[in-house]
Amino acid sequence: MSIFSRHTAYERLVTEHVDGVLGGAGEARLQQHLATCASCVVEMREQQAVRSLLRAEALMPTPRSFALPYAPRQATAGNSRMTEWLRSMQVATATAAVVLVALVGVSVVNQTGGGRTAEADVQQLASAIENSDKLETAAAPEPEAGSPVARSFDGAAPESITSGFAPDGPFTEGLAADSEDVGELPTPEDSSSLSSPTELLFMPGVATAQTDVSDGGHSVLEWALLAASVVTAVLALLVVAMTWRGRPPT
Amino acid sequence: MPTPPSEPASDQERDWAFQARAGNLVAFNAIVERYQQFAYNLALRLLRDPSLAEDVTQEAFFSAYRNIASYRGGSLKSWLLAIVANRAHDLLRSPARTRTSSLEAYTEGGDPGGPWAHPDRLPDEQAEQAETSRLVRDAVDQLPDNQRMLITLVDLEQMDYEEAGLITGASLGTVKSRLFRGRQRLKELLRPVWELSLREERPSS
Repeated sequence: MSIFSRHTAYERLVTEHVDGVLGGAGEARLQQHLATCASCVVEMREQQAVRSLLRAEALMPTPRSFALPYAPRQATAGNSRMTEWLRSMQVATATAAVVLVALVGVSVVNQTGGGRTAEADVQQLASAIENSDKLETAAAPEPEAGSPVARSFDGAAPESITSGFAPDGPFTEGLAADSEDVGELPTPEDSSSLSSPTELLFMPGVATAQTDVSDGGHSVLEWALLAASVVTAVLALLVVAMTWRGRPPT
Repeated sequence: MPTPPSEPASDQERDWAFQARAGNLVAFNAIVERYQQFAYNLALRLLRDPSLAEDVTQEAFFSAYRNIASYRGGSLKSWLLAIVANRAHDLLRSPARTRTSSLEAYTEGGDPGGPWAHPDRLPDEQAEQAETSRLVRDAVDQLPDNQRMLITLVDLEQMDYEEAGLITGASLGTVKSRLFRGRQRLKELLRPVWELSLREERPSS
């Protein structure tokens, strides 16, 4: 410890000594130091003089009485408990709202296929078509004439579905004339000319690739979304009801 | 006359606080009368504006009455002054606050000796006392807010370190450190004054 910092440490002890709050070992150490350090003795005298000046300052008289002219409403213990409860409700509402927003975000991303590229869509479509062909050629029995399945493939399909597969349609440009040969599949660039994705879902095999969408029931996400909405709404209503009469006194 | 500082709440004060909690305004106003001078002086030293200090003191007593249920015993004076200090501190941090010159504000409308001058003293002594007071107040006003608050509490209001720490929310070490730095600064600012007083004490040396 340098001489300067040691001296500053003793100056701090002098301040406490002057205020009469230094005791025990600190006081003994200071007295021992004062017996050998003239500058600290001077410091003590100066600090005492400053303290005397400050303490000689009289309190200013008050310009008037501050007695209360009327009794304002007091914050009772009940109010305090209510305030704490209200705060916890506000936190719960905020949390529920965050969860709700997160669930909505996840739901939107799932429904819009967030992150999927057109190339991925086309590859999925190609896979579905290939599966469909295999099913038709290997596994599926020849439909009887007039059956519903046969009707759906007998050229009576809606035009909106078949238009993309017309001989001069954009989807068939790269296909071979022989229907048994799948030939080249559309490139990602070609996908821009396809009909809407909804129409593609009607194609054989495509629906099977979208099983997570067409299972007919409610997913866990939907139930979570519904629960979060209800909780948020209930909490928000409670908070509004509690704060309707104004903020509790603090 | 204010009571001696830094005492735990007396039986009478506890009784007043209990009655005030039950809605007895007379009992609460007895507390106000006892501590209003300390409260006003703390606000005045912190804000350096008599008008603002008056407002803050009144608001603090209203707040104290509204929240008397939160008083858990201990020093009633410390509890009240903490409310005053918090309100004054909020105002100090408010950007909209306009600070006024301390000297003009303190002496505004007062007699030449100021309202703090001792009535028993001769006019010359009163003038000298008033001048010394002006210099001391001016020097204290130059301190940073946190040092000024502690100098006010410990030296003017004569509270102990622990109570000053409770009121300002500072640790004991911080109280000591700020007091030391504040006193060192005041020692430099008031050197002509205390040197004169030291010479008067020891004319032969």
